[in-house]
Amino acid sequence: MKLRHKIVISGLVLLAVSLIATLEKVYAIKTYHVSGSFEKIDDTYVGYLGHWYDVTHSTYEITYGTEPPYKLVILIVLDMKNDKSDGEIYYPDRYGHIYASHTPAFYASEEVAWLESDYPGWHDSWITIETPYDC
Amino acid sequence: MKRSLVLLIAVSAVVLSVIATLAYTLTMSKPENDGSPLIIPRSREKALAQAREVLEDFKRVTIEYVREKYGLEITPPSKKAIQDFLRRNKFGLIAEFCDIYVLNPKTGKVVREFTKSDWYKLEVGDRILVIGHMITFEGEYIATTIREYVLAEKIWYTENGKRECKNYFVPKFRGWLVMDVRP
Repeated sequence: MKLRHKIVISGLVLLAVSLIATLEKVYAIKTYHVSGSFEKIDDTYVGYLGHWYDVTHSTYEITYGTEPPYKLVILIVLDMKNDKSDGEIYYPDRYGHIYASHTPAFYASEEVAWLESDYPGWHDSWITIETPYDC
Repeated sequence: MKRSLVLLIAVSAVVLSVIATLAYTLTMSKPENDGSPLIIPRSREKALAQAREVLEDFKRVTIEYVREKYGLEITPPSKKAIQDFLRRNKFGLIAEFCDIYVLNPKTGKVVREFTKSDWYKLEVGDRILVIGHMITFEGEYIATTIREYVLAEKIWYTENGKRECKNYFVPKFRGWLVMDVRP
């Protein structure tokens, strides 16, 4: 085999490897906007954020307001699998704002999230959900 | 000449695909707002003050209390679990990583770990137990919280042809204790 042939074959192999690597690293990212008043459930106020599937990473950026101003509204995230589930609770970094960048412990979890408050209020939430493409 | 052209095309294709790989890696696979909104200056003191504020409304309990009330032997947090949580999560001042259990509706004791199917199976009036280890953004362990929730409302709906539900849990008990962090 001539040197040129070897170079061309090597190039094609590299191309194939590179394309596979590209496909593997591609993820779909969707951004959701959820807002509204908290719902009163018994003595608790809940802001339901959503239910997502095959989550590999998520970010929550939440702006909220309560009356009276309450600094301890919490963001609850559940990562659910068939054999186990994990929970995470995130607190505000200041009154009116919660930020969480979250990677589930289990790959491609089913994820549910909501806000819990002791007082009535509203929220304006931006959520990005990253899921793997079906390659 | 023809062979040189083939070689040139092959090399160009490789270079282009490498560029495409890098472009995807740097853009598509990253969350759009990763890391930007943490604009307030954070400090250990602020984190501890927030934790104190949270725990003020919780009842201080003991390991024995949890054992007796829920029939659960709480697993203390480990340094490894804390580091793993910090590696996977970015947040403000404090956060908790939690284990979740389903309680027997009659006895109130733990019957199993909460799984995906429980999200759908639990009925109004059923209870769950959430054991959370509270840490600061620097990974300092503060306390372990105990939250008992009751399912107050369940709403079924259909989305993309799939039957889904919303569960509204409300807290019935909030307690805390301090454990020794495992190495």
